[in-house]
Amino acid sequence: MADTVLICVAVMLFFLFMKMPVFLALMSGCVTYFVLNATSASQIIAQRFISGMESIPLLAVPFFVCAGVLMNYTGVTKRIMDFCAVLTGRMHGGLAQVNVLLSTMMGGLSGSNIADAAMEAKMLVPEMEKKGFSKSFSTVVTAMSSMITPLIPPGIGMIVYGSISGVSVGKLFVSGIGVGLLLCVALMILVSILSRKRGYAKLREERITGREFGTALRPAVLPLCLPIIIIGGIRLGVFTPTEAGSVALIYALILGIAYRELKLKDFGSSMKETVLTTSSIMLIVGAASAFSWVLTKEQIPQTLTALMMEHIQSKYVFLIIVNIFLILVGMFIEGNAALIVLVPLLHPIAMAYGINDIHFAMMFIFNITFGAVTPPMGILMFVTCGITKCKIKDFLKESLPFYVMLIVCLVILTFIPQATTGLVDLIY
Amino acid sequence: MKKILRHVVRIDLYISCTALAVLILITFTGVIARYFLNAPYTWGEEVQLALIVWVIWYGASAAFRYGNQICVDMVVDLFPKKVQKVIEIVIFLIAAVMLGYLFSQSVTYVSQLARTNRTTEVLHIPKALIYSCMPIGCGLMILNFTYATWRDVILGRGKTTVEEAIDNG
Repeated sequence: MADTVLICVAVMLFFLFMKMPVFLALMSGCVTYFVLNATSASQIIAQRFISGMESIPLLAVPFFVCAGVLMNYTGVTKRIMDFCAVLTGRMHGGLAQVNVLLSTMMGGLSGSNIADAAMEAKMLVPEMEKKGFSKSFSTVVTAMSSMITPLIPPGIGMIVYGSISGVSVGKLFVSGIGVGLLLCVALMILVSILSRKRGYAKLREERITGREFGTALRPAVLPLCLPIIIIGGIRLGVFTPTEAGSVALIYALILGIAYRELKLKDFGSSMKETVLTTSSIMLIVGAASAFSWVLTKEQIPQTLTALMMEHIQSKYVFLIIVNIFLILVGMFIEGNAALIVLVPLLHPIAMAYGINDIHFAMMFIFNITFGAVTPPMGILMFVTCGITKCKIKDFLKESLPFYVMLIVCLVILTFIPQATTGLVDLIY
Repeated sequence: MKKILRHVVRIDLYISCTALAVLILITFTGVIARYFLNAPYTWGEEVQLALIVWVIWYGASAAFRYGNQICVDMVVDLFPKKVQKVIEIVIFLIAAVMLGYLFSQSVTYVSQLARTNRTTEVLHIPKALIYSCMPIGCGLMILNFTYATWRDVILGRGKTTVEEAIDNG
């Protein structure tokens, strides 16, 4: 029986690399299964496909995507950027620090890192080059800092993980703040060290006055309230994470109208953008849940758990193996598809080892995001390099110290559970 | 005439966007109704779930037209241009067959639901009506995928949208 599944996986991977749309490649795996296994009623594929999409937690995906898109039209980004420039003005590597901090703050407003990376590559990289940063360094900082966006709530990865495994999305959001800030601080330290070595200038030398700080903060205050409203509302039980999405969206809409920057035409195009992004994500979700039905039917999760438990005693060895495996998977496979197929396989094993569910979930999501900045399929790498016209070769050379930093963060997340669960324990 | 045709072609996008707008409205007012007015929508959940599948399946066909489907082009890009074209056409044909398969399976599934008169629990909306978007969406995806492949691979026009193509005759 395991042979059938192996053939299905092979077919799926083959089509995946042959430029077939990801959801169809996943479906090819299921179709192969039904061809080889004629006894199963094949309309189950249609049923699983559609029921995989019908989930209330997953409704949060279009909402947060839409809120993020709207924020880009409302001039919020520019306001937050000015605020970041004041905050990081006296640090080494001025604009590079702005870049990192902007990603962190924008992470609280949108769930998509690709939009964030594209926006920063367009807005900040040309400015950075003018100030004497090299093109490859600016591009790398932009791509790496965009990794923070999906970790700071709201993040699509956390919503998808929670909806499959039953881990509370609210708790994952809270935990994400800690992990996102950890990555933010690590990046800022690294940028500072590198800038000092290369003599990249600070934005300014003189101290920031209280009045200047106030002027910069005022326009940014309303947008920055959003993450607090989301987390607070979920924690106090005013709304569910899904409903939080719609609240965020209405909030963005009101900001756009209040700032008089959102036109009716922009509203139309943001709806269109949302619909296109949502359906391409959710088709993958549907196809992946059809495929994971095949895995469940063949009892792959049980077999795998038994196999692991039999050969590996230490939970730390298990975590290391999972880390390596997930980085490899993340390098080749689209994040959401990887989540939906692999969470049902790996989550129960982690529970069997007595690993905290939040700890494992955040480690999982961090690993999958890692793949976005590594070759050969790193989407953030391609998006930023595509916009700034940086060569992939230069990008990789410049990335090395950043990869080391990411691995250090991963080691912290893996071996210190408090890094992920500490904040959750504090708030919940 | 062209103007009308342009809107007809975009109808999938219009349906999807409208469904999304209604979905947002229901979810947001749902919070107010439950928390502030103490009168939760009993039908909220089933309408939300019906709307999201409409958003997805109609949006999916538009996503093919606008080149929004996610795929991995890294490996294929390594081949010479001519081989790339052949691969893309072969993959398109296989993908179209697969969409056809999904179409026929979903027709079976939807007609099964129609025969057994399955409805949602509160409002008694026929399930077959809700899920009808799946076979329709698959059909539209085949049409739009064919169009996009014809436009990008055979004509090599790159990213012109169907609207522009109609404008240009």
